[in-house]
Amino acid sequence: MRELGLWTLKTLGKVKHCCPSAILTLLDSLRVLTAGRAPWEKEYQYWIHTGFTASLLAMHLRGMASDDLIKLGKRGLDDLLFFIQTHLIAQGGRGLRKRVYVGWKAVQETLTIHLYDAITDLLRIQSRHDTLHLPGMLQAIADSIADNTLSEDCTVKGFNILACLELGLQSSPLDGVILKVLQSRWHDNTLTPTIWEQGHRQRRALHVAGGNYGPDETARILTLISDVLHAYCLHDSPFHVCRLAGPPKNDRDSLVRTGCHWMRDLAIIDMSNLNRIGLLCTKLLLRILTHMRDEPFTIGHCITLCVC
Amino acid sequence: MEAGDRIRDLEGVDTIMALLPLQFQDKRGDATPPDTINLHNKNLRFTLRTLRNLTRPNGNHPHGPRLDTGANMLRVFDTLQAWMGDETSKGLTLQVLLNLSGISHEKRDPTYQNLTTPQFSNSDTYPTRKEVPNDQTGTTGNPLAFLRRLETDTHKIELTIRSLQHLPSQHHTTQMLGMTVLAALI
Repeated sequence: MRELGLWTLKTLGKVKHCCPSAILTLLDSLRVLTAGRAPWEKEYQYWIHTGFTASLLAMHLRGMASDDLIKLGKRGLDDLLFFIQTHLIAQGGRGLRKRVYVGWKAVQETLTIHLYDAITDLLRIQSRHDTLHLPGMLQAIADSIADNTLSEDCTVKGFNILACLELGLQSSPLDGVILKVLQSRWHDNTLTPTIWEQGHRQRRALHVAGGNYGPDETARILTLISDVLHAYCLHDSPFHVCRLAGPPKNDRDSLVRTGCHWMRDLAIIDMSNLNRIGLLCTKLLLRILTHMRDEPFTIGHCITLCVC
Repeated sequence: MEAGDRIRDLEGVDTIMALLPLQFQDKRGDATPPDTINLHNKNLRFTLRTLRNLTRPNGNHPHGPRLDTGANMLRVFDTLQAWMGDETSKGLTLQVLLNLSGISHEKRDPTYQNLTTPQFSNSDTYPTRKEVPNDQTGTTGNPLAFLRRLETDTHKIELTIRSLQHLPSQHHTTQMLGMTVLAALI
């Protein structure tokens, strides 16, 4: 039966289609195909079924509109949310603490991307603005985004979810998650220009939506920016001093560009940040003005920070 | 320590001055998009505002930073002809020039100055600068004296004043700033 199930799931995935009522059928089928096993009990074959199911769920949700979500019914929506929440598993996360399938890392990447896609579409078509705002779900999303073993694409998709959640002023497990990811990746030397830039962009979007920067968060971000600029600002950077290859020039420039942009944003949001920026970064800003003259945007950000 | 003092201590004013000619000259193409013009214009204004603040004498640097080198003077003069410059940037340029020239505050105030009777017939005796040894100008040590040597470039001020005359807004303040510098050179 499992072979037949796998063949059916594969075939369904070959034809793009959207049928809201099929979501419940898919979830029920998966329960049968995996013998109702929880994530920590799943082995190779079960994860294959789970992965295909997640892919099909994302495909159906992509084609759905708000009315279709009503057709799904309460049970369908609850089952869907339960599936997402229980399968969005971060490194060392709740779902896999008891026993870890050895091939989990290979499964995790694609599964997480399908689940992020499903979340994004659910947020798009939700009839209520708090469809996913259950504490357990928010915690699962936060843990998943903060997992820095995931790929750049996955992390960026995770960031994109944050602005769609419209959390407003209420506190949630997602508070400060962007900074947490960036700091963690910085310390693990896995901070890429894209993640750095998207982190800035999405935090900016959250700020526009009402998620103000707290003093502690601001201080941490400025320290992180200062560390990044110092590392990638030529000459006396650790890479240069230790004669390490470091990232390519384009990547370094991009990291510096984003850092300057973010710093300027923080100075504009609160002028009192200028003092801290001056203490941490005056020397770096002057160096950037010297070495990045061909980049009018970066020059603009830096010179704005020098107006005193 | 204020941000301005920190920048001065790191010789940042020279760094920012050095941006002027490289950043703002001869870059205009035939079809420069408006966004590019706006971006460069905004950068120019911010650069000049920064320089205006940094070259202004203050408590920690009572005589102003020693920036009145020939190279810096020329860079500022050239900014008067920057392709994306507007009236505001011209006004800011003249203020920077005024700061560099060392004309005293009360005399430089356009509302104080009677332009028909220039006050600076012998501005070599400018009080705040005359005791400052200046080994950077390669001149007599007086920035005004150096300005006089740049007579060709001071024509840019006249051109600026004249061009502003034809604008509807007239830009009296900017014109007066230019006239103040010119009057000091007489």
